[in-house]
Amino acid sequence: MSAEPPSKGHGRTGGHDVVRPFVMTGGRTRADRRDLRIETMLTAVPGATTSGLSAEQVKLLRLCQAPISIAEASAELGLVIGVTTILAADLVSEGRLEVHQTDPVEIELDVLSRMIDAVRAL
Amino acid sequence: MTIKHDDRPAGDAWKPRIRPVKFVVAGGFGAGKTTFVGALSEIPPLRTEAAMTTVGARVDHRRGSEAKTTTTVAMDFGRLTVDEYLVMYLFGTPGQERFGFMWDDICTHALGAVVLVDTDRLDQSFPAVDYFEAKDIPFVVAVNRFEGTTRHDLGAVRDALGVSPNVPMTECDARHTESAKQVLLLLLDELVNAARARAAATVV
Ligand SMILES: Nc1nc2c(ncn2[C@@H]2O[C@H](COP(=O)(O)OP(=O)(O)OP(=O)(O)O)[C@@H](O)[C@H]2O)c(=O)[nH]1
Ligand SMILES: [Mg+2]
Repeated sequence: MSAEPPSKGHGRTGGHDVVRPFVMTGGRTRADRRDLRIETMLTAVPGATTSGLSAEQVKLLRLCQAPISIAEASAELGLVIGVTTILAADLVSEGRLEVHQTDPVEIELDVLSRMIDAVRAL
Repeated sequence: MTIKHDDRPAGDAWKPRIRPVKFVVAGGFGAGKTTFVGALSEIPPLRTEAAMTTVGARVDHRRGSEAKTTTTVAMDFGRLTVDEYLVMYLFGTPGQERFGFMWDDICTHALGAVVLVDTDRLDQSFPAVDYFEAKDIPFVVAVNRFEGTTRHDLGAVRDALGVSPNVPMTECDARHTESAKQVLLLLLDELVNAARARAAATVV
């Protein structure tokens, strides 16, 4: 897929404007990793360097010094979810970011009771 | 430049371990989704955007090129940290039907869902109910009590929505944490029942 031309001042948006948010992904609109979902937690790999990274990737890697979800990182960076996911996928394949366990498993009873306790305590 | 990690063993000793658990809060436009998320979240609801790329929305026939435009839509979410290994996320779906394209992204591997219903606009709840039924995502229905709305009996709402008798249904006021809590607990109870049933099935 070819890169989009640079956007003309439409970059960030509040509403449903026409934007070109995928410029910084080289025009890619989907990550090829299926294990990266909005709730997926990421952490920077200890010792990961920022050499050769774009400004957004550096910011993302910094945010991931403590575990953070893709959704929160997107909100923090002001990027649409899809763009954050693609940037993250690249960092994962380069070995700079680690993906927390995301294998969908049936939820266990003890995990449910921990959640119930937490909600009751609100 | 190196990213520093202070409190973690190096190399193989450290393994990713936080488990995020996702819940979806759905409902029609203005049904109270953001309010509900905010009532339960430990942080003010965060807002993020998803984008949809539409190819050929405006086709320039003379040049034979397609205009590629991207529409973004905001969604809100909140967080509830259970302990250092477990985090619950609550995602609000966008109210309007035309943003259905985002639903798969939001709902994939969701543990369960809350459908918020505004009885003045019952029909707006149909897409959410249909979606969760089709995807086999456990859900509960919470009828939001807006001022000035006539009190509906839950049986009538159930009939109007066409949800099966085994879908839990309750009233709530999304503005109050206590009320929102009861809704989420109802959903968690439902998940406990399902987990027990699964366990019993494997023992037999
Ligand atoms: N009386 C009453 N008002 C509510 C309740 N829940 C939400 N509201 C109010 O209804 C309005 C809409 O609530 P939101 O939480 O923004 O609804 P929403 O579903 O997120 O709306 P959209 O994202 O625009 O679809 C706000 O003014 C809320 O204060 C409720 O349970 N009772
Ligand atoms: Mg909202």
